[in-house]
Amino acid sequence: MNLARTLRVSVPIATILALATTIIVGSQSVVASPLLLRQSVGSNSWAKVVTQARGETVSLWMWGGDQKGNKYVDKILAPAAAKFGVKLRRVPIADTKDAINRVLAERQAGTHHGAVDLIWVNGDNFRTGVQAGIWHCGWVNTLPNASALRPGDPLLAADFGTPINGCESPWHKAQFTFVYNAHNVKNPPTSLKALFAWVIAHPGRFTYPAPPDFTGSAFIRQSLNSVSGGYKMVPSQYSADAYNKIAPALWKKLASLTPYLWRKGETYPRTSVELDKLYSEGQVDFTMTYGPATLTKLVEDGTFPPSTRVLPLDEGTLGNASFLAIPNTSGSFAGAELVANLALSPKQQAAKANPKIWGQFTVLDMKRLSKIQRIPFASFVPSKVVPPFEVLSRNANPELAAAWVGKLDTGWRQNVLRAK
Amino acid sequence: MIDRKLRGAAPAALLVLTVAGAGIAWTFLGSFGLVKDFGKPEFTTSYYSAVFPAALRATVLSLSLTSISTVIAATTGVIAAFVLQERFRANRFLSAAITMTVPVPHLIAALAIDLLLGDAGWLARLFNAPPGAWPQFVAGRWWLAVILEYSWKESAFITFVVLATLPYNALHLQAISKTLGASPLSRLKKVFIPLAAPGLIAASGLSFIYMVSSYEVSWLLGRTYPEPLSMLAFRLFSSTDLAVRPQALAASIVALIVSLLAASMTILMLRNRRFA
Repeated sequence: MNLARTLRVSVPIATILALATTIIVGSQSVVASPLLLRQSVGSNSWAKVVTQARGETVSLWMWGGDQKGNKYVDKILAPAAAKFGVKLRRVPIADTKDAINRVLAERQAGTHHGAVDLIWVNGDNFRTGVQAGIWHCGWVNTLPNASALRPGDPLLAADFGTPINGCESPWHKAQFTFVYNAHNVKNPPTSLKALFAWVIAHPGRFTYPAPPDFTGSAFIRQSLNSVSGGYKMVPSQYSADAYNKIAPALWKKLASLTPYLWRKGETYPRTSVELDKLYSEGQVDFTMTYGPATLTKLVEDGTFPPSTRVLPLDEGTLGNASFLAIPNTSGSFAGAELVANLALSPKQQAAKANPKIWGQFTVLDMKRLSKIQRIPFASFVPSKVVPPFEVLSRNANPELAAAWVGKLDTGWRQNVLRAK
Repeated sequence: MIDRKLRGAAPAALLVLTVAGAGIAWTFLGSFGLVKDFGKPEFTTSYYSAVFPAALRATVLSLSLTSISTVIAATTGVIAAFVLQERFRANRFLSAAITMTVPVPHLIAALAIDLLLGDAGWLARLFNAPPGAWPQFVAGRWWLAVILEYSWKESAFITFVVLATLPYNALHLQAISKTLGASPLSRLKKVFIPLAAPGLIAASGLSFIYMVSSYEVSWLLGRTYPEPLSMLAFRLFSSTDLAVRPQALAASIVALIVSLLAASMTILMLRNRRFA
């Protein structure tokens, strides 16, 4: 019975393979928080928070597509938290929305010791959480390390136009950045308008991720600023009037580009990771990112060609900050607050800003740090690919209110994607 | 006899009813606005009317993709089963290939297809295709990579079920028809398929229903527009605008109706089976 024998051998092997995959994929949704007493923290002094946090497990749900970021959390932030007796567990997700969905589902189930304790979040996802009332709020100002933030820093006062109200603690700043292959693009454009002209002159060599992908969505907003004649012409708060006034020109422009895009705009990369893949394979000459810090490493390890360069735009690009938020279904408020405070410490911020480690720009105000605290920030080896934050953020465009984001994403689907 | 059978199935049925039933009930209520993430629950059919044009287009695409894939999978699956049944001694490789295929998750299989057939995939590199010159299997107009993935994976499943559900005397009947001089084709058509029909119909029905509700293959190998039902539901459900989510539930109910229709058709075909 050869069939039977083959079955006997191959079925277990294949089953083990499949099980292993399932376990690896599924482990991200395993609830690890030990049952801990739910304690209100707001009024307690910081020392009490530190005491309460001891022994807690904090699950940090964050986009897992950035290997350097994953490594920073696992090798630097988690060991630092372990010194306070807090077990920091990183949960990689494909999209921040997955974490929000999980919290919404847990809330519907009435969970108080949910699987999500901290989320790396900003913009429309933060707003979604505010809309649904899922955030634990009013704790950010109690963090000792928040004293090194500049009061009134516009990037930290509101998140895509949504007031923060102590519901999320700043983590890093970011700058939307276009990236090109200098080997193929001899005379790089210096404005988005010039980039559009380049696209038409070089059919098939440019594309962007389809919104609602985070990066693709940012590209649409950057284009809106350009087509409208600069970010000052785009009201930061959403209104149907403003949309009807300025969006049609954007759709017209983007629709006119489609025949010149990769695959003639009949399809788009679904995520920024897919666009990066096309770029690294040499299918297109441009990519874009809201986290330019990762580029140095991508070039070093050979993922991106050595001729990869950042494309500065005369009119500047969008800038934002991202945050750590605690959902109110978490059973480990104290531990989560402790990790957020730790992540804000000058030491952690400097390590994270080092391009060799992650290269995420700090949210701290250098003027509020001591001389000694500033030393590590000044000691980074400059990158050949990415200019320093001061250069990148020149003429930075403020982000639009989160209410714009969804409307523009839907508008793009109806007017550009479907127009094909 | 039936009673005992029912009693045996009760634990499984209870589990399915609890898990699937709760999910379906929640989806159903949510699609009519009776359960909400925020705001006051209120009965409305507006989510259905909002999603209707997109859902209709998505249903047409989903039905085309799944029908084509099911037909290919059933055809190759039943032929593979026939070959294995008649001469498995010579086909150790084929039986290994089929048994190994069944437990591989669709997600992994889709990634494998992408690595093989993608624009800069293994084959494109082998043939040294310049950018833009490789045929658009992945994310192309004809959804070839998606259909290939479904057909490949589901054909293995169908072979497996067909072989497992053949009546015990099948091999004898095939041998007899062979001695009586029947050609391989007529043995397949007149003997094997009628014997395999119950398993074939059930497995094809299951495959069809699975493909209607699966989204990861279309997500990885399909194009951004148009989109099948499951992708439409997934996209709306992961929208950052919570007000759009009930539309995702409405789209899921449409997918559920399609699946239920397919299930009823399968059961009907199994009851009124008149093959050959």
